[in-house]
Amino acid sequence: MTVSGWPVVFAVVAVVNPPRLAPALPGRGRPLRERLEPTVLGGIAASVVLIALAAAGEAVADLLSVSAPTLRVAAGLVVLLGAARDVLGGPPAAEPALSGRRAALVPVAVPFVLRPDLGLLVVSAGADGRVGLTVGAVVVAVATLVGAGAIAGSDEGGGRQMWAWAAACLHGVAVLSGVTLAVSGVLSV
Amino acid sequence: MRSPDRVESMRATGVRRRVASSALTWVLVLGVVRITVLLPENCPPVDSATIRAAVDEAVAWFDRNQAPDGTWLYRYDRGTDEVGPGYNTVRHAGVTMSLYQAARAGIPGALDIADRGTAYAVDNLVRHEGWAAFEPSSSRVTSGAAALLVAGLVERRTLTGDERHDELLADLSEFLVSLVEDDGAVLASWDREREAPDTGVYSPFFTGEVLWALALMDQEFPHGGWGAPARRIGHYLATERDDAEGYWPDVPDHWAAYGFAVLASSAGPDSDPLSDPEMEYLRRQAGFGGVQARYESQRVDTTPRWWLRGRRTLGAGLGTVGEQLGGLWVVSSADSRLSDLAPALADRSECVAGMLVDRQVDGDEAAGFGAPAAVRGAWFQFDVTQMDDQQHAMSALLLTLAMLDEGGGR
Repeated sequence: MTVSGWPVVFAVVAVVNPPRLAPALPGRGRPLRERLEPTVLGGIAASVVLIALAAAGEAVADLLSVSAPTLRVAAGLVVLLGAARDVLGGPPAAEPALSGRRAALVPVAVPFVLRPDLGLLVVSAGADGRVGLTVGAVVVAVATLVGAGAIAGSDEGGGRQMWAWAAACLHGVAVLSGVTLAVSGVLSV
Repeated sequence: MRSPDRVESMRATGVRRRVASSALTWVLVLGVVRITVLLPENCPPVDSATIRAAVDEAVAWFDRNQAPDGTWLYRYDRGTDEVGPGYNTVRHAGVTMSLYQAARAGIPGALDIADRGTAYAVDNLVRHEGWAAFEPSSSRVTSGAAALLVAGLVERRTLTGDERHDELLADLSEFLVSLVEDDGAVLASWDREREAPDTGVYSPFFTGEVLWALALMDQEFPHGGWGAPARRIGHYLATERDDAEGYWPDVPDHWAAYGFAVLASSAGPDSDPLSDPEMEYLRRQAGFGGVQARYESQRVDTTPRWWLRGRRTLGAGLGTVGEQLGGLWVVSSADSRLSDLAPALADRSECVAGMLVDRQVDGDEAAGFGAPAAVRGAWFQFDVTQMDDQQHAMSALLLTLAMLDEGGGR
């Protein structure tokens, strides 16, 4: 069974889950530029790591002596479990965080974006030869995160309920993507 | 009230904890995934020479363990040094067929050993209303035994050009066609006492075997009328069999892979290519073969891996996976609609061949048992081997050998 690229794109965006993170992003209530800077910088830093992982996907598969479909099964299962953990664990906390620009590293890059389920997902996509698609998906996810952060951090940034609903929808997408990836991995040659 | 330094210190500690917690999560998740899902897939490297040597050993096993009447040692327990009871007609035909495959691959001695197996079959034919079948004892005359005998004899004819069995081939094929229903389903057997087919009785394997036999007959005798029933069976296998006969998940059918490989290779100006539903079926089948090969390659007969993946499968079990992958590789190289799977199919076929070579008992290991002649060149599970372990393993190795010789390897 081959799997199109869409589950990978959906899974990357759903695992990052910008609406879930938006209320916890740094700089809430500050001017737009100040507010976005850590998210943009953190998003870029995390993207570089994720793209490097995707590019190294085939090498990682060789190093572990596993095939790309088996890696896809693992990624699908971990995405599924990650979504379950996020649902049960509730929204992430804004603190503790580094101050100022350094908040790009903690909490934006770590632990918000650079999560093991996302890491395994992009490695798997890279091993499947979908590096370009993964780059696109990561860019979309980070751009959405920045946009969500811009809205959530403003004074009229929407109620927590709205973000919770949007986050729940993306949890659902993550579950579906995880199942799709795992099943396609099992049924692949 | 806390001082700014104290606040900054608490913040720094909190950040460190948060980063450490994240790092721990990475380590735990990746560690657990590594030891449960991402277990190493052990695919010992192989080349044509090592495969040929393993096939030589398997052929030698059949030579050493063949009785004067042409039958083979059916089951042997090396732990107790005991020969198990019973014999299986379908497997006799299967071993004979596999040896003809080996003969076609140029393995010395295989043709004579196979011919002795054929002699046993010829001595035990059932004849009725112009057809022939192969069954020495019971009242249940199976389509499977006749089909595999046909497949073997066609292999022999292709190799030698000898036409001595042409009449028998036609009679056996008539029997097979008599058991093909209008929708392409294949009855498993004919009742000798009632002199009638066993209606409503099917087999997960005989249908594919009959497809293969009739497809080979059509290839060898294009004007014999064997192609139409073969096509009917192929369509039924691809579109109805698993639902109609109640198999879930679908039967991973190595015999069907052989059959479709012949149909795909025969497709040309005078014959139809495989239909889209048949290609979809083969794509699903490729997935079944792939996951079985990957799963098996993660198996090790020691704990804790044994707890996670179970014991290594039979030689016959691994062999049939290799046969399925090898047959599907032939389809993928003959039909562009499946060509995207060719590299992965080649990869898994080589992996299975590597495991088979690795797991075959060599002379040194065999010398430590009571009957080395029955141990060397064989595949064992729980200290037991059956002749079909050698049959399926050898056929899988031969398919991989052919693939490598055609430049289809990794």
